[in-house]
Amino acid sequence: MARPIKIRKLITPHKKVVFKPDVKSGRNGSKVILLPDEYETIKLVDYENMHHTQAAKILGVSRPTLTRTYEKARRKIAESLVELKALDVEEGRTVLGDLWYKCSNCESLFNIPKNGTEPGKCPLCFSKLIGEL
Amino acid sequence: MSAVLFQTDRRIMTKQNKNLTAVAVTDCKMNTGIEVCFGKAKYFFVADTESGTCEFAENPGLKYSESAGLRAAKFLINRGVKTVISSNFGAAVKEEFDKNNVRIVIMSDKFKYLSDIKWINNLKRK
Repeated sequence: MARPIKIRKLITPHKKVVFKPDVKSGRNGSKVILLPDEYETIKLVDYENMHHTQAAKILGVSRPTLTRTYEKARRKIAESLVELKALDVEEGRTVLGDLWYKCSNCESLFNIPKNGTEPGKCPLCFSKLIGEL
Repeated sequence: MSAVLFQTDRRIMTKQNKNLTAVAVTDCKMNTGIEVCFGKAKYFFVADTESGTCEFAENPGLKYSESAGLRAAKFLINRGVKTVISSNFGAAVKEEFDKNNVRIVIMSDKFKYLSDIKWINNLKRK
């Protein structure tokens, strides 16, 4: 039996987004699904200019696994650009590094520092409708 | 410009024990837009929620080509900021804020301008 897949650790919760080509050139319905760990890898390696070793440590996987994920992610983005497909960043099997809260009124996310107490209200809109992510 | 910056720095430094909140913004006006990335913000809007005053501080990290976010984070921590608001934080910045017990708020896409945060409209600019 194969070893079960390690769950990836994200540092900040990511937002679900879809990137679409404009109406004229896009192909309706066809899309490429980018998994959250692939999105996070692209963000760490290409946006924050990290080495693969550093990025792998943050995601909690080995360096070769990260390099493979990075390769997959780049291929998917290229496919979306060349074949004019929508790029869908999905939610999937990931775990957050620490506890995050979400306000259901303004949809903002926030955490609590180590020495802080549990928040009673949202720091932006002061709504009390908050819950754990 | 540097003289003005020095004055702003000293004013913020005198209130290290207060509860300060920083927002990453694109300009030093009250109706400015909110910067998407924390490290790339031109200015930080620093609000003192206890005394009801606010001011703008320039991002010192922008002068450098590398690790602008980390420099900005250290600058805000030295000034005694307890809560930081932006839409996107990098891994290094998040780690630095966690070490110093600073709360991170990731705002949703509903907030596009500084005036969209309602409690900010009640503050007085120095």
